[in-house]
Amino acid sequence: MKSFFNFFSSLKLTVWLLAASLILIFFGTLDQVNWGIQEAQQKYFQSIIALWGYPPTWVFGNYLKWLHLPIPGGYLVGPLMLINLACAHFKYFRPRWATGGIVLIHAGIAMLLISQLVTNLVQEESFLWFAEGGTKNYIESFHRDELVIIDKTDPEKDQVVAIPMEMLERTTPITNPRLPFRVEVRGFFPNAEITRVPEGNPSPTPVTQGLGATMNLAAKEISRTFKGDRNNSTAIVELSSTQGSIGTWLVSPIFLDQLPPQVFTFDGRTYEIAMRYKRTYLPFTLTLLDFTHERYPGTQIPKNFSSKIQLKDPATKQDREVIIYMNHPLRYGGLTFYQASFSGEFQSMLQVVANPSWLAPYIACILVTLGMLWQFGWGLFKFINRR
Amino acid sequence: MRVILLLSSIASLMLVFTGCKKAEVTTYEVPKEKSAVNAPFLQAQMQTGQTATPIAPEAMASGTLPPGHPEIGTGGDAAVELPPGHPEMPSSANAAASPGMGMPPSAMAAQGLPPGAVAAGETPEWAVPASWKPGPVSSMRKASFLVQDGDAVADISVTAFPGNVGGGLANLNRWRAQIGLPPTNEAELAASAKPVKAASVAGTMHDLSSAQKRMIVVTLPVDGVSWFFKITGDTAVIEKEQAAFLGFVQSVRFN
Repeated sequence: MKSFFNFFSSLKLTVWLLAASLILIFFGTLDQVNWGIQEAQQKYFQSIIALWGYPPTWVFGNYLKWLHLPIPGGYLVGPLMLINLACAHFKYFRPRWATGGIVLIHAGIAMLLISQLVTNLVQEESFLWFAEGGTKNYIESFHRDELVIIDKTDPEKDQVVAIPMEMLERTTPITNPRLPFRVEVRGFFPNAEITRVPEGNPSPTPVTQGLGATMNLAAKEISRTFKGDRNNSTAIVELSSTQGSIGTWLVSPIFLDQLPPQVFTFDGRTYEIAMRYKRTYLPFTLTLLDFTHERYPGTQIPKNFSSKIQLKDPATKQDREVIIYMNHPLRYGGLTFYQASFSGEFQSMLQVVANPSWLAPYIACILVTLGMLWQFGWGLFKFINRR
Repeated sequence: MRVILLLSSIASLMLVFTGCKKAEVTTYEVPKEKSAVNAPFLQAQMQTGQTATPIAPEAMASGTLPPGHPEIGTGGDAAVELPPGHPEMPSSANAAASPGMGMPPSAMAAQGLPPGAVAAGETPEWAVPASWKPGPVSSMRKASFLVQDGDAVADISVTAFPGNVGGGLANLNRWRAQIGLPPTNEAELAASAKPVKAASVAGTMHDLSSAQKRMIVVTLPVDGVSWFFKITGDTAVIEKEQAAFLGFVQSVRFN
């Protein structure tokens, strides 16, 4: 046990870990060019070991592209740093007023490391597009899609059964007490393009119902993209009841903006089936009252753009106007709404981030600052006294 | 040995962390959206100049397109087979760009711009007539306006696509189909296209009429991008709004 403690409290290990994090940040940042930010983050910072490959576009790339370098990932370096920090702290520091600042500094750094891990594990990023006058009570995911089967029979309410795309990759049938049929995925493409097969020719994607059947559409798998474009997760879904198959549908978020919804009736009830951007419904509504967009005079360079929002929450009886603009997000209901993009003069996009640990880095920085003030102040105080 | 054991236990703990987001089916009840459920579809209808009439249940069930609905496009990248006459999709490089200020860096990775959307921040300047209201949101539109006159509606859209989007005849036939006119030929294209000049650019204008609908489209080619300014709707409203629309086109300034 003592050798453990000695190993993890070693300052040599600290130096090695700092060097490893430098290498990680260097290669992780470099590879964003090839993979895009999200994929590079996953590959390097949210993994235990990352494999860096020599880019073929570099000097002698053709000869050196076989070269791969294993790099310790963020999930290895971060926890080791935390353990190292804790062990070293308890080994070398005794509670004294003279080193009180260092305790604070270490606590701040430990908090930063832990909050980053929590952020990685729980943070969700979504978006909200609306035009002036539009009201939204849901946000949509940047990267995740969902298969929804909506019972639309009730004239007032829709009953939604949402199946996350991750579950569609499995072959086991999906059942739910709200559905009088089971859902079986006959094909799933993490990214696909949809083409129209000329009439008379059979589609390589055989479906019996909905748009795919009536328009003779075919889905072709294409490689996933990680550079800003969205993947169109596409599925061939068969619904079956105890009496047998009801039909097979082709679903893709490509349809959403362009084609009518795929609606069918079963057992006297009306259902819609669709693949859409994963939605999260909010207990409050946001209405875009006004979007303003200023440019620097005589140029197209955005100077400022802001959204005036009406926030209505029946639970807390809130009904107020908020202005969201650069570096002034709205924080409400555990979510942060940033002004992120716009289109034309009337449409605004908010980036919505759910991160329960968003305050932790601020507290950590305050702790480190206080610790440094304490430590240097103490030294200064002693120095002046000595003189 | 012990060190290896400890390291491997830390590693497995981290693996557990990475796998702790479990996907599961969720069920919930939401009030029927007045417009949002079918919003993309209604918007698509608006794009074709139709008023937002409910879709016949049979049509919904069978998935057939309403009359005049544009052909389906795809959200993929290059090498996607587009239906004849469909405008070319902008490249991913164009689609992903965005001003993206005041947001976390990871947000820059994906803007959530629907595929085919033209990057924001490239919109030219123009003067919008006071009577025009904001129109339906769509990933394809640079700007969108509506004019209402009683029950009659006119839809004004501004779109921009790289290239000549299939050529003059393909475009004309697509527009004609949108107001229920049969396809035409090259000779009629030449007769239909009227020269127009706006923003110091020589463009063309088509004025198309069917039984109840009318459509005026001004095309301005600017730096390899075709800008389409289109007003569609009931003949009576277009008649009234024609001057305002042409004034709007004349007010366009590309910087």
